[in-house]
Amino acid sequence: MNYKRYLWSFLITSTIFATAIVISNKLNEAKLGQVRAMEDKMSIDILSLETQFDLLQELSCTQISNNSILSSELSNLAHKLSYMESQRGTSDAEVIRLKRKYSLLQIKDLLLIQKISAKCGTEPTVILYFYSNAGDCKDCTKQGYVLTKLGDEHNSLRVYSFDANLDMTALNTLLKIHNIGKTYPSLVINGETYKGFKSLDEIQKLLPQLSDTDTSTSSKKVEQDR
Amino acid sequence: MTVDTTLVYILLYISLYFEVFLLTSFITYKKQQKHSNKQSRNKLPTATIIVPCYNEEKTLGGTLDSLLALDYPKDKLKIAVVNDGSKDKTQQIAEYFATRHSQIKVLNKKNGGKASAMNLALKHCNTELVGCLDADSFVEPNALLLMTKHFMHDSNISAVTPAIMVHKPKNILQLMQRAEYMVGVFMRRAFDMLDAIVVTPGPFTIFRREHILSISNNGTNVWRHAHGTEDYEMGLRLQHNHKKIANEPMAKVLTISPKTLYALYRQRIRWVYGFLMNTIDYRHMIGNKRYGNVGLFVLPFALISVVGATTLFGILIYKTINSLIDFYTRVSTVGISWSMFNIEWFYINTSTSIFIMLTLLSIIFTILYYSAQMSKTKVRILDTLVYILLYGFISPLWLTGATARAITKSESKWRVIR
Repeated sequence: MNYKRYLWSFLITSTIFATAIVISNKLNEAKLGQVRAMEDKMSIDILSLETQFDLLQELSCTQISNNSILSSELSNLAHKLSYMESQRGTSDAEVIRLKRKYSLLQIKDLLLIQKISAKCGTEPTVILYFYSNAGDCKDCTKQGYVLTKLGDEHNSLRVYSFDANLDMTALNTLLKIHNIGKTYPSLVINGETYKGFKSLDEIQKLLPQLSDTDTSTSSKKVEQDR
Repeated sequence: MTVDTTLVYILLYISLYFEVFLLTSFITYKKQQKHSNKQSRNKLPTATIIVPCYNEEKTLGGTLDSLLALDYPKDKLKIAVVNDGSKDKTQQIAEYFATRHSQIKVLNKKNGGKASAMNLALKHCNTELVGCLDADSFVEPNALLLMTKHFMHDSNISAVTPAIMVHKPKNILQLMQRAEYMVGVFMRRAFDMLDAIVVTPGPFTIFRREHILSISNNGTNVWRHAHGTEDYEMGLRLQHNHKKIANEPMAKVLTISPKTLYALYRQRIRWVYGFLMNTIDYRHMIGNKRYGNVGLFVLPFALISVVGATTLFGILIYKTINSLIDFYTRVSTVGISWSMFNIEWFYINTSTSIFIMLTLLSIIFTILYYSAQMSKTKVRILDTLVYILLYGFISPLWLTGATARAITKSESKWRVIR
């Protein structure tokens, strides 16, 4: 019996396994880094726009629209965060931290959009979506697909999605303002709260401007012309 | 980390350890192997090849032709065809050959299974070596000569196994089996290097007659029914008695493999069921260092592989069903759109398990390369791809089926012989 062979095989196997773990971690870290960078960019964009807004009350509405965050950026970041969550699990500390930051950025962007709307007289199409992935919302997956589809097809639509279980004071306030309670999915469309699943058709009926305005190809132009 | 993910990682680690162990053993021993091919034909041992058959009219002729073409002195080679109560023209074909070749002897008996056919032939045999060739297999002319070399070099060797390959594959399933058998060529050689061969396959394993008689009760009941896998029980019994089993990778035997998934499933259910039941019968060998690498490596890992593959199959089914439900939900909610298929690098799976699976695949490629090199054949890319794409998905079918049968102890009755 050659016990050394057993030991050597153990060492080689462990080394291969450790290498695979290191490579996987490095690549996942790079992905998280990409999400972080996107959040940072968004954070700077929002801050910059806010500062511009405060400094120059007379800033032209066209300039503001040109500098605002595109809804495609919001949805791209949401997709990536959702993917990382599916890969690393809903309880992963780094994913939770990034989701919290993302939620705050969304709230800030929402407030800014409302300010711009008041100043420039625009009527942004906004949907607030509150979901739970704690296993208590069987329709949240379906609702997510509906909103992703709408977001992909209509760039003028701004979908802000919030994980209601993140336990953040700003988010809790938003939940209270819109009287969300514990029913998920919940949507806020045109300032009105709707509890339970809403299909593609139902949302399009609530937002008729979607059907006669843009699709993804023409939407950017519409947004920039505003 | 969830329970299923942890389980997958543990099984991947075990699979990787198994492959690394075999590959390192093979590479280190490979350098030490040096056998002389020079041997005097006068000193060659006498041999009897038993051909047990039941309803083998279609293939028996080819099998006997291949035996008659063996490069071995005719006065030292006998062929015993045992007709195990066939209902077709097997007996007529065997007798036709016997009238033309004095080397061939035909024995007729009532149907009783392969083990009983082998035992009957053994009673009529007095040669130094005795072998078996299933009537759906064909040997290459130099096979016996290459195998006897081992018996002549080492008097402690009790059995020598050949390299078994698939005969003329015609469909995808048979191509997959050809690659699988090529992996088997490597495995048998690697196990040989570890003195840990536990299966003496029906297609052309050669035994030293004295040795197999010595491990049987007064020379009776040498081959046993053994839950339908007498070749595995014989291998285990030899190892149990500390007898040596060698392998000759250049001695090629071609066998006809099942053409349909159902036939393959039936064959493998019998193999895996027999493996599980015989392993249970010889369970005292598992983890027992008295039996060397057989006890410490081959048997524990073989058992883990059956349980592990069954578990992985369960997890795979669970995840596939979940993905299908998810896909159905998505399509039924919003229809099909291109955004479902995102090709950005960000969405490529970079989990640890993917890298381990890639490593396992590269080891399988290496194994196939060494198998082809040893048996002096070529690596077939198509076979390899079919094997990699199909085997992992369909082999759990018979692994789970056989495990269920072993638990309920319902033996396969599908085949009387072979």
